[in-house]
Amino acid sequence: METTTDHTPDDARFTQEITRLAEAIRELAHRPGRRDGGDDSEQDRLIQRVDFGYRALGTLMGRAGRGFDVPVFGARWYPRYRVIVLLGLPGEVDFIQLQNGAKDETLEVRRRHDDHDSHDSHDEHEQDATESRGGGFPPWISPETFTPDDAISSVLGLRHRRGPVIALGPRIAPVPNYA
Amino acid sequence: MFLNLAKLLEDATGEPAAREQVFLIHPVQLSRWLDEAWQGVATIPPLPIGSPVSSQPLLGSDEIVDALDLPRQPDPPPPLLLPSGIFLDDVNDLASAQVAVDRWVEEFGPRSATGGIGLLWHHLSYAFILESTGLIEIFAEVVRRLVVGETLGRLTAPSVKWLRATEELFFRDPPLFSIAGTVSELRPQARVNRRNAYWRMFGMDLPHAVPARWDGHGQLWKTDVGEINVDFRAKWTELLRQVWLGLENNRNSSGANPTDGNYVALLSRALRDMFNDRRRGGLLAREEFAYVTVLSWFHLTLQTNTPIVVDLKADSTSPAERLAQLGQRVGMHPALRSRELFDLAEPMSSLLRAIEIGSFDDAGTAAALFDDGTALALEMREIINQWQSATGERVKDRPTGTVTPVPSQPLRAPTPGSGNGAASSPARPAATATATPAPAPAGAGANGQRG
Repeated sequence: METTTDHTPDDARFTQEITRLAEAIRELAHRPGRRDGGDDSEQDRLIQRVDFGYRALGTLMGRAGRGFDVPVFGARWYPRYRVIVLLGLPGEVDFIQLQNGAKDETLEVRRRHDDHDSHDSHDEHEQDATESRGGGFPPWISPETFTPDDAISSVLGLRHRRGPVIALGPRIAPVPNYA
Repeated sequence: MFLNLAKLLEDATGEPAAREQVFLIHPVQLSRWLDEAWQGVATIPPLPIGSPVSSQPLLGSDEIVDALDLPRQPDPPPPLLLPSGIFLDDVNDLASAQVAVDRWVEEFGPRSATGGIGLLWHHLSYAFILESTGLIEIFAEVVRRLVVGETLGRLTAPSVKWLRATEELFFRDPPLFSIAGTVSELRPQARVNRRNAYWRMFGMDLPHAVPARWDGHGQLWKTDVGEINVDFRAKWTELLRQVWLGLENNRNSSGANPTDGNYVALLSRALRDMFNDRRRGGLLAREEFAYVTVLSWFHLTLQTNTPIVVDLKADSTSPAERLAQLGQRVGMHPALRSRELFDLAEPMSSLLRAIEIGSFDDAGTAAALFDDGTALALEMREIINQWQSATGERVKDRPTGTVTPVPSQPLRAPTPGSGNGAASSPARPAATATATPAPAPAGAGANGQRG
């Protein structure tokens, strides 16, 4: 049986492709910002939070470039309907985490195009909120643990229920005279 | 703070050129905006963001912002307390930005442009590092020449606006009751006051002397200061060295890994405590705000070929080059390592602020400093490179030859009653012509020496 070690042009191209693919996989594994999925370890999630906090701090300090463009959004209670309206919320934020020193709560963001299973109870609120912004209905959340007389010290926008954190909201002061 | 305002303009328009619109805003509006920006810090979420809240309050006290902000105002406000009128809600392109900076709108504060979150100023290190380039003294001479004679030629209208705002905001007594009013009969010289803050916070002097024209009575900034952070530089350099070890070995999958996250966290906590000792009760918060504001104005001026830079024929490709060109016009030279200092100022400020609020207090969070998957690790590489290049301290070098193994944590017992520090050893003269920040007197081994 005849054997040969000569490489055909096809072999060379194949080897080149394999090398290129291996390089690409290595690059992908080591490139910054790889933590974007939902199945990281606890330590990875911790590091992601620290990194986000650092980039958010830089954004607030007026820095530009290198990830210092963390999206910020506004948030305020509509106490009558016990919902928090989220102004300027980036489209990729699907969950909101509310925190203060005593408790925290993660809630799915409701949008106009969501399934309106509980829509009736929000009809009036939608109308109010829409009018207050001069059109365009903003996303909202319906907290269960927090009430309008709670101070909310931190409002974070998450891509998935467990992270990563991708946007930053303001402190929300308690609504005065909320009964 | 002017970098923040410039970023708001850029974000609103999507045009980097909109940053320069800051220089076209009337100084009375800018001055009032600073008070509003100070007040806006109260709406920043607890720090560190997204992590368990640190026990260290921002700026050393939860009450300092409220203690010094404007009084509560009725709506509409009385004439004495008119808002800055800088309103960016309807700014969406360069044309609308140009209109917005030349008008006054009865809206209060920068909050509307930031989704209700306030803005935060840079750490005092930003002012120290930038002033180490000699930038303020060069601009002081440029402004002086422009207002006393014709040696620098004729200016266009935008440069005239810059000149007026610069002189009125930074080279005269500040407006009455302004948050930036850190000059008085009791501390009359701004340049001495800034050196005082640097000395207290970092135990370091600027590398250049007070120019003879303004020199008064020796090193006034070191008198009656009480405690100072003499040990800052040693701890800071050690932190950089340990983080570099971590970065070098981050991808090790086999063999020894000398990275010690616990030691990095320990150093981080030591620096945090050092800063917060100087900030007790909100000390230095107002001064930091005022000094960072001054430096950010000149930094912004040099970031691009702004009208004043072009009018003075100093247009170039980097802030350091522009500063050198401006210096040439008035017969002055910036620090030799200005380029590195410009590149270092913002990252170092961010990192120190993060350390100060306890972002890296344990080994788990400190690991973010050398985890290659983060923006933070990229930033650390930049800081280490720039610091090493600017100061000449070999952060990355390892000892060569036969070395007796030593523990990674230096064994250094405190020396009781050494009494070192500025009072007992001759302080480095401010006039030394070093190109890098001057450290506290050698031999100082502990935090908190009498100065």
